[in-house]
Amino acid sequence: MSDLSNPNPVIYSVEDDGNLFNQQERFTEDEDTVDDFDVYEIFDLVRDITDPEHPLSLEQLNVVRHENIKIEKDNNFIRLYFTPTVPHCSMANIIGLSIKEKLARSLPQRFKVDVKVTPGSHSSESSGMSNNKVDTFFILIIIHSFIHCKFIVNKQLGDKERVSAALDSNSPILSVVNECIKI
Amino acid sequence: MTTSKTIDTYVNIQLPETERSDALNVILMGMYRVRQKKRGDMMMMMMIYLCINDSFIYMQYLDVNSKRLELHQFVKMLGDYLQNRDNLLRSRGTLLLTEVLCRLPNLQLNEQQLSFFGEFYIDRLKDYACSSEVVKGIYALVAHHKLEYPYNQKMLRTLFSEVHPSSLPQTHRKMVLQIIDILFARHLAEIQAMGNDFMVGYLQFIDGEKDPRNLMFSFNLLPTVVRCIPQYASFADSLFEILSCYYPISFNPKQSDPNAITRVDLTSSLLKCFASTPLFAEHSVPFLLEKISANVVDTKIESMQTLVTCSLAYGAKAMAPLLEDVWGTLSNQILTHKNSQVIEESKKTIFQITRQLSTLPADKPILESFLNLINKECIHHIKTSQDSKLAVSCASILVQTISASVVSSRIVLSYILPHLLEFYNQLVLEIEQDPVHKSNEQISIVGLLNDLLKANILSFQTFYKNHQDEENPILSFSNRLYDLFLGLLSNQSILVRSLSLECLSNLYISIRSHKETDSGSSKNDEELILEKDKRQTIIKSFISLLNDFDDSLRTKSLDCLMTIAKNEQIEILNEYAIPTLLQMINTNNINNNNGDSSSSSTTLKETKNYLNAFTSLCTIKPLLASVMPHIQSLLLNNIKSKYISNESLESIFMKSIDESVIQNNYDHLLFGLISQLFIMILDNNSNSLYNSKLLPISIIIIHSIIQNINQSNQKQIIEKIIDIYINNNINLLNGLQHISSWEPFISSTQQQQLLIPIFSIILSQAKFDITNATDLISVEKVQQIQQSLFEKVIKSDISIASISCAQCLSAIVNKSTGNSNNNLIEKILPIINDNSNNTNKKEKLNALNLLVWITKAYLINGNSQSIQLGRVLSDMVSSPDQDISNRAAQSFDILLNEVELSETKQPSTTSNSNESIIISTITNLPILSSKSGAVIKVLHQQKFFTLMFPILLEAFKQSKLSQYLVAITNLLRNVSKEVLLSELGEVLPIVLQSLQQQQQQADQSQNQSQLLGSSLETLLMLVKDVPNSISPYLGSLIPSLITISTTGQLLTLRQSSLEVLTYLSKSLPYQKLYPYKQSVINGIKPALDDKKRLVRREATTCRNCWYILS
Amino acid sequence: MDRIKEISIIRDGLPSKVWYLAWNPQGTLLASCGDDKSIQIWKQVDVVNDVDDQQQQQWVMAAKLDVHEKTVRRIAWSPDGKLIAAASFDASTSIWELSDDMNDNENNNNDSLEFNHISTLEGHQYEVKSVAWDHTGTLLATCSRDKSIWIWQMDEEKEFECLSISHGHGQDIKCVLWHPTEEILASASYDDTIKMWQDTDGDWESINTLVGHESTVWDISFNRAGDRLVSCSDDKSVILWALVKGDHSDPSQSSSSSSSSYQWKQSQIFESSHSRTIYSVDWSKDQYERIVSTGSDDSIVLYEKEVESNNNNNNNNNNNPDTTTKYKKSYQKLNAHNSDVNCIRWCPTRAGIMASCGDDSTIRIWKII
Repeated sequence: MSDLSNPNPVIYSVEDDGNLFNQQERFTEDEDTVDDFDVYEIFDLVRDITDPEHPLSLEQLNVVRHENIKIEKDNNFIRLYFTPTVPHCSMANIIGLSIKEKLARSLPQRFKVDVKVTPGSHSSESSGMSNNKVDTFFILIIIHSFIHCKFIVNKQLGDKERVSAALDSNSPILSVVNECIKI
Repeated sequence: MTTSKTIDTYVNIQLPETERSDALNVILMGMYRVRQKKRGDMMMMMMIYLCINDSFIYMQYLDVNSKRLELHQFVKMLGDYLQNRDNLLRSRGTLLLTEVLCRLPNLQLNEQQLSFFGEFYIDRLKDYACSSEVVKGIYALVAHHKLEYPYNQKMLRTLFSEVHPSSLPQTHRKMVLQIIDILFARHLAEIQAMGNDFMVGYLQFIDGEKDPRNLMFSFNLLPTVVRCIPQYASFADSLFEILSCYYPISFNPKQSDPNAITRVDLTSSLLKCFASTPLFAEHSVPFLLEKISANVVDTKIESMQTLVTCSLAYGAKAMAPLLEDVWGTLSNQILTHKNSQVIEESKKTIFQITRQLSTLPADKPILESFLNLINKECIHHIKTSQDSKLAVSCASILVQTISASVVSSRIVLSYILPHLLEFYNQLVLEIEQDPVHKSNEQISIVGLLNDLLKANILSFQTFYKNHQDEENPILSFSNRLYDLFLGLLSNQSILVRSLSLECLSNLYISIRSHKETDSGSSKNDEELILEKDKRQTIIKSFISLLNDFDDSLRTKSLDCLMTIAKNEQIEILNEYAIPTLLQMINTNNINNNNGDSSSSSTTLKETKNYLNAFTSLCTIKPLLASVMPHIQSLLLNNIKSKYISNESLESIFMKSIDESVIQNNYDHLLFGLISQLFIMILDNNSNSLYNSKLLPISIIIIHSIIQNINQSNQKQIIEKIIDIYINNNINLLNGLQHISSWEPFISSTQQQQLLIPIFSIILSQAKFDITNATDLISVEKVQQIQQSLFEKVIKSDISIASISCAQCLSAIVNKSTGNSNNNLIEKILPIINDNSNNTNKKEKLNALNLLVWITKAYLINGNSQSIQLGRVLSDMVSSPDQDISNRAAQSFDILLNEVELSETKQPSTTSNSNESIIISTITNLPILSSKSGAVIKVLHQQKFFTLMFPILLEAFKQSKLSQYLVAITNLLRNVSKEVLLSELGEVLPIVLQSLQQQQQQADQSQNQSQLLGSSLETLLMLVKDVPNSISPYLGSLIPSLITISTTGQLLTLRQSSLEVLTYLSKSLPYQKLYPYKQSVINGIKPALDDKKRLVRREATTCRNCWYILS
Repeated sequence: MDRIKEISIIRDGLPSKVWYLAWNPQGTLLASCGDDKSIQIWKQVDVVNDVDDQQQQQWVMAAKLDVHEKTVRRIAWSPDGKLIAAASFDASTSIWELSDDMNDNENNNNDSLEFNHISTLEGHQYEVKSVAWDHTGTLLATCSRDKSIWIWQMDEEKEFECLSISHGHGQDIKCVLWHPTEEILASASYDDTIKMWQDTDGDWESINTLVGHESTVWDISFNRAGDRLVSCSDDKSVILWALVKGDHSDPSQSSSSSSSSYQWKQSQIFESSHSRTIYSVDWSKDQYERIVSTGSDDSIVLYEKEVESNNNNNNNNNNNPDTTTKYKKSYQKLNAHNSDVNCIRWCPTRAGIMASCGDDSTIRIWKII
């Protein structure tokens, strides 16, 4: 599978069409063929998660894209990059947790799943690039806060102890997350 | 008794109410007499006399010629009361006078009497003791007796100066308002003369009113005041201050009174006040904005609506200075508020205001300044926002302003578009440095552009059709946009591509201007914004995208193509879209025929896509006619190439069924198709038919054609087909003359038998009773036909031939009125029951099948024989012969299933061999549907069930044969929910038992998994419909479901068991479920790793549902 | 060839995530804990199999201690094996006592044990992540996400009193561990560092900070002598640290004054020893002094002393002669569990025996062969 050829995700690399083409055949109905796990299946699992503070789904908000999911079937390894809409840690955290939890509930145990914030994320720096209407100091803060935040979020999502503490029984966060990933 | 006495009686409040009222009446009577005498109309007098004196206790005093009472006398006598020092007596006196004036509206007062009373009351106004009586009096004067100049003004002044509203009871306060109202109507000049003084008094009077009735009145009065008294201007602020404290109206009337004033009434009239003058603008708008910023949602929304109405009334000039704040507040709501209702309302408000501002050309500058505010802020956010949501909301605002009106959209677009395009180009430059979020931005920009386009179309083409000679605002940008989007079609991100697709189609259907706005859906060339060549390019690129690897894109491009097609005139499509499509399809066919198998899968796929597109294009009526020939050629090509995609062709017929087109072209199509089939099959020595899915689909097509043409046409066809099949007249079909030995019903060659279904299908669809259509077919012929069909059913070794003939007979029997069919049964039964080995198994089964179909025929047309036959079948279930018993068990599904009444099912792709596909196709055809003229009595099937169910149930309990269970579930599968519920007590244990059974049996035989499958189906139905009836069984149910979901042999079993679990979690209360939560969550883990994606999907859903239980 | 053999496995009765396990000092009992909020005590029933003189071990649940409202993260046996302390995400630490009568006839065939819940230590703001007894069994240390370390003292009546609350780590503290012989506490944190703490006139203060890991330090373990320390981290590396003593001081009679002269130096590092986060590491106290580490890549890695001879050649800038013994990564057991392995511990009494537990809701007993 072409994913193996580039394990670390190059975002928007146009993938081998032929391969993708078959992906459109979403399932087979005979008894014997084995449907392999693929990017789209993972994407299907997370696309409908809703943003905690909006009725919009992560797909609509463009927070998750199938281009940003990598799967290594043979190593049972999945990596998903998401792009928070706001450079705001707590939100990014919730979204990340939701994604992680949804996958944990939906995928076989053999898979190792990494959920990370996209390297260089949505909009934040754009204010810098876009013309000099916003005063640069402001921009610097944002960029800083964002990069800082990305670091924090990734480390926290990586820390399974914290994750499971956050989602431990009757924790408030758990109910938020459940809300987000409700089908 | 004397009048003075009577007066005393009235005035004296010690006396009982009745006496006093009588006294009053006496006086009034007196007055009447006066007038009646003058008129000399005794009759009248008597009547009034009676009605007034009704309940009179002392008629006796009223001797017939009792004193006439002249007004002046009366007043004189009343005099000392009117002067009396005692407040009470004085007020009573005044009241008496007032009563007289009120109760005798027709009392004719002469000049000086009027002025006297006027003076009197005006003077009396100073007398607080009897102010309310006075007010009433004045009201009487004004209302009934036309108080004259200058008294009105004088009276009003004194009233205002002397009487304080708080000192008056509600009714009297209202009277004052009524007085003012009347004066406005009659003596406007006098009041206007008062100017400011009036305003002052008026204000003081309406201030602080609480009573809803009075409020209503004064609210309604206010606009008049504003209209008539120019001086109000200087009081606008205080006037509004008074009004504003009522806003928003919080008042709920008591339910008791149906015609009581409602909150709505008050609100609406208060709204009128708000809107009554532009001068309020400077006060009301800020006030409303404040309310909008308040945090009660309802208030917000109400205020916004008020704002809209007001600004409409105030007009642009008045609004101009306030617009900035308006925008500020609204934008704040839209961008920051969470409640979607509020956001929507704010957008609406912006939309409305923009619209209002655009109505007058004169206001354009104001509109412009308003829109520029919006434009600047939005574009700023869009370019710089941290938050994609922010950008999105801004976009939606712009959409509002654009769709508001043509003018506005021109202004907005001419500002926004250049910025966006420039910004976009900038992005493209930066995109290398930072692919991730730049392309995100890119996407949102394109999305935005698309929204703008849509909005513009909305305003320009939908709302304001009658804007003559207006140019489309988008016009000047069309080329730049066109180039941009076209370029983006090759962008790497799927999202971008599908967006630009949409943009293009929107651009495409944008029209240039509204010259001679014709009503037609299709536009002439010069009307559309894009030149023809551009349009063609677009169509071309869409068509090529029809085959994109991403199916979301494919559907998108198809949709766009459709939108265009609806707007474009047919010529262009015919001349362009259709040919290209056909070309694509055919080329692929060619490739496919001689193409290597590896590529074929893709080409198949491609062609499928094109065909789908083609199909849906055909659904556009005007197009269909012109396309029909193409369809034919396609059809034939495909048959030649044995090409599977006929499905979609078939669906063309499905969709175009009610089109007259079919009626006119059927002959050509049908026999064209048939002869092609003949040629293929007869010329073709191998049994290659089984290797192509062609036959079933052709059959479906034939079926749908024949089913959808009228009787007379049918008769022709049937005549012809009989000629071909029964008289072996093959050369009626072109190009088959060379075929020798054509005798389908005699010959046993595979090829000829394979063609039999065509005959039987056509015959079965006859909308009339064949056995009784002597004009068409002679009785002997009928006999012959039936006989040969019967022969085929029994003898044929080709299942489809046998089955289709059985169906055909069934159809004939069902429609035939005569009872000439019993012998059929008599012929069948012996064959089945014959246990000597001289009839082979195949024949038995065929016979059984025929039996089933005949039963069905009766079952549907309500013939009582169906019951007996049902019994026969149920006995056969217990037959020692496995095949017979299985088949009999299955038969109950065929008997009751509804396919007959429903549309055709596509042959299910699950079935493995081509043969079984053909069979399933044929069995799934609606043979006995109303459309095929079958005689249907629905209730009878109900009866059949209620009779059969207990029999089978009993049989099962006796024999414990799993076949009976299959039979039962097949039965249940097809009954209504109500029936099911009534039988629940019986059904449920059975279902559970069958689940248990399979658990014990490690090996799931074919039959077992059938049994299990149908039980699960039933179970699912139960869980959906009557979950609570399940809950007692959860303990045993859940474990077995878990086992099935992880170990079941067929994916359908695993899938549906999971589905049941999911529904359980949704339909039962938590306290019932929680004991099983963990075991389910852990139990179905293996299913998450199932090799079939379908199962995994179901497992995921299920597991997530159970997780969030609480 | 296989160096590690699975000799027994516990499946039933475990939480779906087993976070931690601990041998009692006698090596006869295992305590485990996890996300089912309870503590399970397991007792070994040995069945000698004559075919090969392997011991077929079987483990039965001897008790289930249930008091916490959330996941129990870590547990610790007191040195005498009579007390258990359990740290939980519900921000409390519970203390349990093995009731004596059961303790006496432990060897009779009655497999169930009785524990009494004697007290609950509260005070931490957030989840308690780790708990540890000192070698005397009188001091107890707990640490939490609230970045603080609490030192508790137990008196004869087994009443607990908080001696000090120390801050110093910038983040979540993952685990605390006492020096095997001295009143020195080690702690590892989400801030990527390890700190050493010592009582300086009543207050426990950080005397050393060991910097070297590039991400969260998950677990640490002292060697038998207590002059070396091993740590594992989210950065996928295992680091060996060595104690460099100042001249005049002698750790055996440790005094607060001399504390400053302690220096811990990084003596050896195994870069990317696992392919994912390493959650647990343990240094055996038997004569072999083996080290074992495990983590999120489901594998177990064994480290053993290199042969004396070749430790002169690669004797790089390590300025301490006492602790030069180099270790080598001698064996990796892949797919030891079906999911993350959260903890691995040597049996204190039987050399070469260890137990591991993980997210596949099993405990597995391993033997080195």
